[in-house]
Amino acid sequence: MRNIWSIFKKEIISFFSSPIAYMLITVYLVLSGYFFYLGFVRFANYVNMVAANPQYSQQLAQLNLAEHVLRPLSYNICIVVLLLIPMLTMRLYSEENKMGTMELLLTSPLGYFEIVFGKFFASLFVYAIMMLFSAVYLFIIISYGKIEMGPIITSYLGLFLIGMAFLSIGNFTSTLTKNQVVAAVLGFGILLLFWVLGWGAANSEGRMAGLLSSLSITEHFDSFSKGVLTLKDIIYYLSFTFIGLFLTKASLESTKWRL
Amino acid sequence: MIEVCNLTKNYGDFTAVSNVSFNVKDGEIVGFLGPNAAGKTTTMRVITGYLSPSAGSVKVDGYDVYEQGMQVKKIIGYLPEKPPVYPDLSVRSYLKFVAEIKGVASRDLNKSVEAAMEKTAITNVAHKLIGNLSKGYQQRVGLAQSLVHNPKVLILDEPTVGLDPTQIIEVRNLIKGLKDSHTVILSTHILPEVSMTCSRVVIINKGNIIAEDTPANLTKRMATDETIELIVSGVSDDKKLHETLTSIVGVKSADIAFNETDKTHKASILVKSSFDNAPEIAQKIIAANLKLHKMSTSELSLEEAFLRLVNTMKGDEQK
Ligand SMILES: Nc1ncnc2c1ncn2[C@@H]1O[C@H](COP(=O)(O)OP(=O)(O)OP(=O)(O)O)[C@@H](O)[C@H]1O
Ligand SMILES: [Mg+2]
Repeated sequence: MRNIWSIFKKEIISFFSSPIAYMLITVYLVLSGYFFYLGFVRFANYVNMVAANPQYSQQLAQLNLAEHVLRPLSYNICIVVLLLIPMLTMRLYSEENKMGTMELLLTSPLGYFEIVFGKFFASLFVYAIMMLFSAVYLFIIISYGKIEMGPIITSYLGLFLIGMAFLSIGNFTSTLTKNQVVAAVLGFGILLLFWVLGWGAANSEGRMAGLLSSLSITEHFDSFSKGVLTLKDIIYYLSFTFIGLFLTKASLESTKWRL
Repeated sequence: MIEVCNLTKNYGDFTAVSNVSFNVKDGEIVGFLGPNAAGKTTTMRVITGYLSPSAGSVKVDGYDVYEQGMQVKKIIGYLPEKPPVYPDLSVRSYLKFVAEIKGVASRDLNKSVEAAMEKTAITNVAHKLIGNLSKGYQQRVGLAQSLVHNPKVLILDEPTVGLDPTQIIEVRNLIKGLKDSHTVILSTHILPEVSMTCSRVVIINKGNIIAEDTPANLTKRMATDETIELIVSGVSDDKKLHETLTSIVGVKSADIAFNETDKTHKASILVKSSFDNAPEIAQKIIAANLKLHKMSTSELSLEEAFLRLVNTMKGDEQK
């Protein structure tokens, strides 16, 4: 436990003493802010249009902020996160490999999982800070009207879980190389592959389609943005994360042999 | 304390260390000496558990490095070839981090860190970011890092590289001071370093141990051979001079080189004993009607002993 904490602290210092963390948080806030603005404006226009035509009054009653703003917004944020997370995790291990500090970690009495969790939690912490900042937008929504909190909370949970899954892959690819860029590109490639798996499902049939869509990383996100918590989806992201971290550990272990 | 037994390490099909065995006793300081690419770093990486051996075994304090790595890692302090420092941490927070992951108890953290900084003379830069330190200071931080948890066993890969002369002496004294209370293996290419700090030397070349002895014995063993250096002029035939010299009983070999600028020949003659052979050599030179400008004798330094050992090995390989 103490070792995880030591690694965690060290990583946090490293994150915030390089410009990368600030840059990523800024880029994230700008992009997600823009998406939020778009969604909000679109919604406002729609409301005005509907309100101007009495025959649509039925639909007006059904309009709901969560459905029209929150869902596309959280989907767009997912895409931003997909792009940013490999950059957040790229230096975690590759830099240690390059600087030779891996030799210090691996010759210290640390368990492999202590290193893996220390670093993973550090990257999760930075990610959580990003998410927390974007809560500002939520306060704006809330202040505009009556809105159910349910879908907001589940969307956030969904973003958090999908982020964990992305982070675990980013952590893994960083162990494979000494080069940060290679780690980021590789991580991005793997994540994108899981992202588009669902598209393949549309063109396949039967079992294959089922398998592809159940592996797809986006498929499992839908329920969260609808305000529903499904055990199946939560388990999907948690096991995705666990497998990612397990691969990270296996990769660390194999440095002994690879060199 | 450290038992290396038939250790072999391959990188792909390349054998970096082949069938190496040696022991280091409790409280001993052993120098690991060898030219570039001899396999020193590789051997040390196996001892510290960073790499697994391809064959053979290493035991530290009775624990097998491969099977019981955790126990071994607790008692080893290791300075890798490149100091394992984080440029964006300050010296103090870095050493604190290392002390933590090496398992120093929380209440002893500050004390251990201050002690390690004092020993390596870096207290004055404690608050600086490591990335802003000069190379020599980074090396000292690396050294401090290996000492911070006061380990029983120290593995130091070229500890004095990059240091200034005063600091080299200080670090050597520091290492000498570790004798008896610590077991130390240090690698180096610098011979005086070994004779000054180590109680025993292991010489390694191309992955093989070629000698193992105390520094004094090694010098003595080689010192039975001495060199006589001659500067002569008027030589018309190099070969004939070479024959004349090597025909003398007791002369092992002779190297003759021509010096363009002052038209002289320089002969380096390896002999059993300069005292016995010098008169006869001088006589032969005079008899051959050559002018003798200079004649000097010298004992082999450890440096030359080392070079010759390495060269003999190379010769054997070619045969
Ligand atoms: N990761 C690696 N992959 C392939 N070959 C390697 C690797 N590391 C070292 N070698 C090779 O193993 C041999 C021994 O290297 P090692 O670093 O142990 O030498 P050394 O004695 O420490 O040399 P130096 O004095 O230059 O530090 C060298 O020929 C080197 O090229
Ligand atoms: Mg080396």
